[in-house]
Amino acid sequence: MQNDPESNQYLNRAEKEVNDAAAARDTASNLQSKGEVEKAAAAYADAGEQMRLASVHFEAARMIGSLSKHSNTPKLLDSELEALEKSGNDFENAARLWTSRNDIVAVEMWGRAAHNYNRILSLRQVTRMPTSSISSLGPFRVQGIPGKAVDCYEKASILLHDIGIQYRNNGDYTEARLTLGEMADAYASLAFAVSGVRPVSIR
Amino acid sequence: MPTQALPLLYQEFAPSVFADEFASENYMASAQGYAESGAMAEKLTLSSVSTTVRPEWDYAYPRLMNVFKDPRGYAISNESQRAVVMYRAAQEAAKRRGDKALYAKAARRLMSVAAVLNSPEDAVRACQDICNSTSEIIVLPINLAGRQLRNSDIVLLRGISQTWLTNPKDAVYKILEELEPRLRALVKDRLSN
Repeated sequence: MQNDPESNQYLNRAEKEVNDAAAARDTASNLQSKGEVEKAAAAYADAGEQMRLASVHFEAARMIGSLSKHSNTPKLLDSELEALEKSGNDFENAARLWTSRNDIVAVEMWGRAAHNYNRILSLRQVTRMPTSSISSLGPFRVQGIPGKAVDCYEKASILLHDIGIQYRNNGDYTEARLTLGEMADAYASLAFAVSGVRPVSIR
Repeated sequence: MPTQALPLLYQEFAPSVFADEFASENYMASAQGYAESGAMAEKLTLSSVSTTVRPEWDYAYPRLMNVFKDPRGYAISNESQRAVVMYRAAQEAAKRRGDKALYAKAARRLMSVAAVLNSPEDAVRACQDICNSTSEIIVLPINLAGRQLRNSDIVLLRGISQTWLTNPKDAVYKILEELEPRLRALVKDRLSN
């Protein structure tokens, strides 16, 4: 099947980002096995960013392709979703390695991963948590992509709480206020991710 | 109902109940965060809009800000008001799964946020929620220590506190019965002067 030349340009860029990300992932894995944890974390973050850029290029190719009759839009959407999920996994790996070494960067990584998972749900047009993704046996657990988003928000909330309390204990109230506010945003996101957004009037 | 229907019913029912439990706990945590952040902003006397308004966390749920809108459609930037919204959301989720204790807990927290916001309407509504959800002793925010009470009032208060132990509802009616004519008289007096 022939693609539009402009669409091909984006597909080539996406392919390059995917290859770069794979190389960064290998580097991260090697560094981690050598015990160079912070460098490994930075390499996983690079891989995550490259996969995110790949998803942007896939999206551009998909949008251009949708204008032509020879387009392969469903396949491009699959590639975009796959790139977003891999990017999320890379950011999660980076977040795990940064946790307790640099919690502020770790929060950023959990946030980026959650953002990717939300994008996947939005592309799949999932507006409410599917009941099938909630496990009915054992402790409450959400499975699949919604579960991954929930996990990321949960971990980010806990870290933001710890950072906020630390600021407060050190007397830096301005930073403490901002961080605890962000923690509240993260907890609210966590609740909404499970229950769906139901606007509540304040009066 | 056939026996094989029970597990099916449970399977259909359980996830949403667990989801509401999980959501209500996180709404509460969020509300506490907003309340604390709002209280800190008050202490720091952040008066101008540029210092009071906090940019949202970059990765918050995409439609989160749609929830924080006032009746006119303006975004709510005050953290304490956001806490009110989250406590109400916690109450809704608690109500759905019939958790009276959490419902009342959120109402109690709402009462203290309402005091910070100087919003009697929220305080009264929260007080009604507490009375409707659970029978427990509510400590009225009145300091009686420095007040010159009449002997008849002391007798009345003793009577009410005894009634409270056996029938809280009757005690409330007794308070209202006693207070209403006095409040009417007070208002009449003020208006005539």
